[in-house]
Amino acid sequence: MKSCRADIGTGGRSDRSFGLRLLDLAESVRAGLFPARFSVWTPYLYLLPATLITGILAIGLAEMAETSLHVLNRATFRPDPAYTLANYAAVLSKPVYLRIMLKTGFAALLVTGFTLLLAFPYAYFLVRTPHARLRRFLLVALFLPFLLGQVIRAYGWLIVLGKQGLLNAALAAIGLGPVSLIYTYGGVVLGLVQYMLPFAVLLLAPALTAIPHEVELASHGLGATPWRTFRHIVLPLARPGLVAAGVVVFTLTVTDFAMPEIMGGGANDFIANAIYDAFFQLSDAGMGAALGIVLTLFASLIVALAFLLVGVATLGHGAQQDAGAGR
Amino acid sequence: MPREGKEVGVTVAKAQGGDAAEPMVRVEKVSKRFDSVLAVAEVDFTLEKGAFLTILGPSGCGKTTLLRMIAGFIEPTAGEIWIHGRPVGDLPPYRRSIGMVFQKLALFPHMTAAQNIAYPLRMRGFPRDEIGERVARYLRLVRLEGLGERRIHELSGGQQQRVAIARALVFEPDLLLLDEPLAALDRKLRQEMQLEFRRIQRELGVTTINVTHDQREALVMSDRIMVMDAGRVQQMAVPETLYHRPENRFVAGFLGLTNFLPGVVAEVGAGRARIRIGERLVEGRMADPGIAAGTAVEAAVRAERLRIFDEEPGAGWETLEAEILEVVFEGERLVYSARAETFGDVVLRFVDADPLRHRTHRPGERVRLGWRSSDLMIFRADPDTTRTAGQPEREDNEP
Ligand SMILES: Nc1ncnc2c1ncn2[C@@H]1O[C@H](COP(=O)(O)OP(=O)(O)OP(=O)(O)O)[C@@H](O)[C@H]1O
Ligand SMILES: [Mg+2]
Repeated sequence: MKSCRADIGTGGRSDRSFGLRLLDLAESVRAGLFPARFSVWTPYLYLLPATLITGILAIGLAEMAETSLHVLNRATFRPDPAYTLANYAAVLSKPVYLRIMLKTGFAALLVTGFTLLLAFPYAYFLVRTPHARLRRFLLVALFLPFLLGQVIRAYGWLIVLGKQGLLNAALAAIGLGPVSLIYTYGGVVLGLVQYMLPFAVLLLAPALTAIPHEVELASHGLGATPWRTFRHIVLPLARPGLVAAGVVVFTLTVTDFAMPEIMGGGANDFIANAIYDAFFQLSDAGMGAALGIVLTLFASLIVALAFLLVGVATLGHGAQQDAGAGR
Repeated sequence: MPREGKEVGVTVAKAQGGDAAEPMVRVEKVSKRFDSVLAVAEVDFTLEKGAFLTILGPSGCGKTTLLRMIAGFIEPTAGEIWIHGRPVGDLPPYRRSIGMVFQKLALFPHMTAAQNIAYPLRMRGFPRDEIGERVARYLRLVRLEGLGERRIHELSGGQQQRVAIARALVFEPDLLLLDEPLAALDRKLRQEMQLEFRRIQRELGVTTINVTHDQREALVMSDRIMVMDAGRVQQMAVPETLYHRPENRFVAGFLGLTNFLPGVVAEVGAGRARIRIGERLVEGRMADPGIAAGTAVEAAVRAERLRIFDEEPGAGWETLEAEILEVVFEGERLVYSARAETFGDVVLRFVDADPLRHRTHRPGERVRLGWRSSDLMIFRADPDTTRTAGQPEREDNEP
């Protein structure tokens, strides 16, 4: 530092000293950001950015909770200043909303089930195949639709499944009647399963990689059929990945907007669509907010339940597993 | 659980075809090719019932591949394997009556020790009370009484080894295969487990094939040792023969601390030869048969066969002058390096096994080194001498 300062006046070597000063600056910034000796609090400091961002969300949530406590004054089309739980009462008593919530929840269950069912063999094959080229192909195939975005993909489905779509053209060619998958509940579920597949595979793959191939060989050598090796060894060891993938797929589905909007054709709304309608069609911000809060609570409840049921410990299970297998 | 067992319908080779005269394992001209790599090349051997064989060789020489072919996880490219007098070519692993301990143990981390040991019994459809009885018996055998309810990660490395071996033995297979299960342990625990594995093996009398690249482990545990290099069997013999009578340069270099001296055969006698090394003409024992005069050879002498003499020893000894270069203290012994000018400046290593009784020689000191001419083994020179020439292997391969 010192010699560097002395250089400042000597103009002749200013290029060099400028470079050195720049390095010193960088060094002091680095030292400030990553102190050589961590105090007890330093690790918590690193949590700050994430906490801040989540905190802003929480502020928004509080705002929304406040909004949800005012009913719309139909005369002025402005929220009534009085606090009331009427919006919640409406959400929980009106059959429309109940039906939407049930439909959403049931769709989320179906989508989670089908997605895991399809993602598991895909991830397993991806992880276990000895051919690097095949693995690369599987990864690219997985990501390709992922890159398109949900809206474009949904329109892709319309083209394939629509009344004049490819599927019906093919069916007509073999003399079968047109089937309508588009604008149906099944269509929404199908579209969502396809959308969720990459997420699920990516969450499952690391969990499956963590299962040493030797463990499966051992099970086989000890007399287990492939099915029983799967049931007694692979499935239990893949549980952390299954739970993570299941929770992500479920919450993404239960809060989805685009797929029911496009594939459902207005007749198969999810909660998010109802919220959208409340805000922008009915201008009833209070009702929309109440629906949003209910949705948030419902999704949180499911996640909490999933973790309670299988134990949060499963997520840390990978570490123990490594300790066990690494000996 | 017994119902599940019936689906598999496991029967074991044990009962049928058992013939006392027949060796437990017979491997006939077995080869395995992976694309361009010939991992195992025409391996041929037999193993009697109850014997403990160790396959010893450097990393990548095909040990695991050979073991997995015997176990049935890999199909040979050529050749035939017989277990208990039966060709097992088309039998899956669990019908070969084989227990295997893998390189990384491959225990099931989500089960307890007892559940791990019970697994093969459950899969084979044993009745429930017999499973309980056997698991208890084998926990006792491997000295894990009271630890059966522990999860795998709650056990120490040595305890995990014990679970793995109990799991491999609990269904009483004809053959136990060990693929370097001790490699990951630290030295002390490894030595303890070597003796422990040997005790269990003797107690049950189970025929065992062990794989390792640790020569000390091979010498300690085995009835017989098979040395492999580049997929081929180099020599198979009892430990003493293998150590004292290596049949080729590779085996001589792989076991023990060995000095190699490049030379040329001058004169050939009955089982002995005179060879020229540097300026000297020395006599030695022909370890490779059929070497003619004029052939380039390598003479090998073990570090522990070289001794320092203050006076000229009597007949039967050869001596030379050398300058001490380095002394390494290894606790129970000293390892010297010395340069011998008359041997073409070759560096010799020798050991002082009793350093407290002897004066320690300093670098730069000149000493007279001697050896019996019968301790000098003459091998055909290895064309690929880069591997060990002048660079004797360390006596044990510590991690
Ligand atoms: N599945 C495979 N595909 C291609 N080559 C293989 C395969 N398995 C083994 N090999 C090759 O065969 C040779 C022998 O491998 P093997 O695993 O039998 O060696 P090893 O003696 O057990 O070595 P280590 O002591 O390191 O365990 C190596 O060159 C290896 O690269
Ligand atoms: Mg190996």
